[in-house]
Amino acid sequence: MLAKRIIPCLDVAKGRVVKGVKFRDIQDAGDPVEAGYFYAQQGADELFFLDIDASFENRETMADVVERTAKNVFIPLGVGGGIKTLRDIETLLRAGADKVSINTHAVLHPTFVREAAKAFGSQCIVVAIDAKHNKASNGYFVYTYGARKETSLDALEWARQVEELGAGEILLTSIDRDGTRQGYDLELTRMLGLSLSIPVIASGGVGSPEHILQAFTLGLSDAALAASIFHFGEHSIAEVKRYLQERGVCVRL
Amino acid sequence: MASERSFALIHSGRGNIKSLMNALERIGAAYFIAKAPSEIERAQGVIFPGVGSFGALMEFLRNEGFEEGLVRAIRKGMPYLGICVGMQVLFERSEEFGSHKGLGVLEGDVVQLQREDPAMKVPHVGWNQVSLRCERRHKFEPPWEGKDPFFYFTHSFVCRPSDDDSLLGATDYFGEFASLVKKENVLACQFHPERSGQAGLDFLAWFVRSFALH
Repeated sequence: MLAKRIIPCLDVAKGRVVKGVKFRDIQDAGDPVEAGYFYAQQGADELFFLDIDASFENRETMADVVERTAKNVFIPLGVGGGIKTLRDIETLLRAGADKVSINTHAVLHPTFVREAAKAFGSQCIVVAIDAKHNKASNGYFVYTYGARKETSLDALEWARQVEELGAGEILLTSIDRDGTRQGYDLELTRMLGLSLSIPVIASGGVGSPEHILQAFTLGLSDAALAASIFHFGEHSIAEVKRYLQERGVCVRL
Repeated sequence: MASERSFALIHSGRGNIKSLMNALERIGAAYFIAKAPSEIERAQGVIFPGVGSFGALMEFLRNEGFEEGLVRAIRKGMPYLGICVGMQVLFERSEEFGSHKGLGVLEGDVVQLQREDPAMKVPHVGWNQVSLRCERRHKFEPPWEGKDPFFYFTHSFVCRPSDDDSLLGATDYFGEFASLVKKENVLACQFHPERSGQAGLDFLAWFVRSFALH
């Protein structure tokens, strides 16, 4: 049976982890390479590096981070942030990344998703969707530029469109929940989980192992992305996986 | 450098081959990237980590002259490990984006995963288990013992071997598919051992140290 995936995410700027990672057992938690290795040893199913600076120089730095991480980490590596060209993707894949996530550039140029999937295969292309609830329409709108700019795109319609264009997975972040530790937006996650044929990675708002359980049971997601719950050492990945297994979720242990 | 004691990697140019190189370095296996078909003949074995579409990969093999060289090397008994699409091209044909002819080293075809259930996502992405099917019949040391290990998969197409004897391992995803096949000197897996943590490294080490010397 296919296991539900736990994906720790590291925010990186200028080659350093930001939004602090604080483990006791790690010498330099600000080094994404060390933090990535630590998570892989703990049983992470995949790692995601999010380039929050996303300047040209930083992309070169990200390729270097990926290259050094891939030497010691033998699980899939994803990278997102500021990807605009096939060359950007190729640079990261050559460095050892397995998948890239595309967000703003996909909204601006939807055919880029198709070109990227055609060039590298759908398995490499994750479309990241940042969505926010809209009270007036009781729907969800897509935001770009790091959740700063609202678009007129409906989250579900956009997800269906990128699925059609060849995206291999959706990384779905709730802007309302991100950073709140109140749990994933289960309604949003479930809506996409039910309607799409490609896997959905839930993101934004996790504060406890129970939230991760809910992402799978109620949110119908295929994977759960989490940052702070692991970064501060409150819960280890192995502990969360045991918690899930005891409640009947198939995990890799 | 090409040598008798190292493994030839075939790289179609695009995508991530670094992970496989890193994994081989980790287990202490020597390798080189084959630039020409003639270099394969001197290798201890071939590892082909196929990415992209079946048709594009076959076109690459044909255009670069690898098709004939590979089939000849395999027929002569050279150990071969095919990964993902590098597994699929061993079969006779695929229906991915039209019909394509494969290397025909193994009997059977490659078909798209059919969504049997709304909960079934395609591509099949993530960690799934492989159950050994007929290691006894193959009469060789199995790649692992005990609990079925998890390996990392990412694919939308699966192989359908028509020869039951070649099925070495199966994986359950809304029905079973062939995730590990073997025929004489040929071994092929649908999963990515280079992305499958310690289980994957152990599998690669088994191929290099046990299977390839068998």
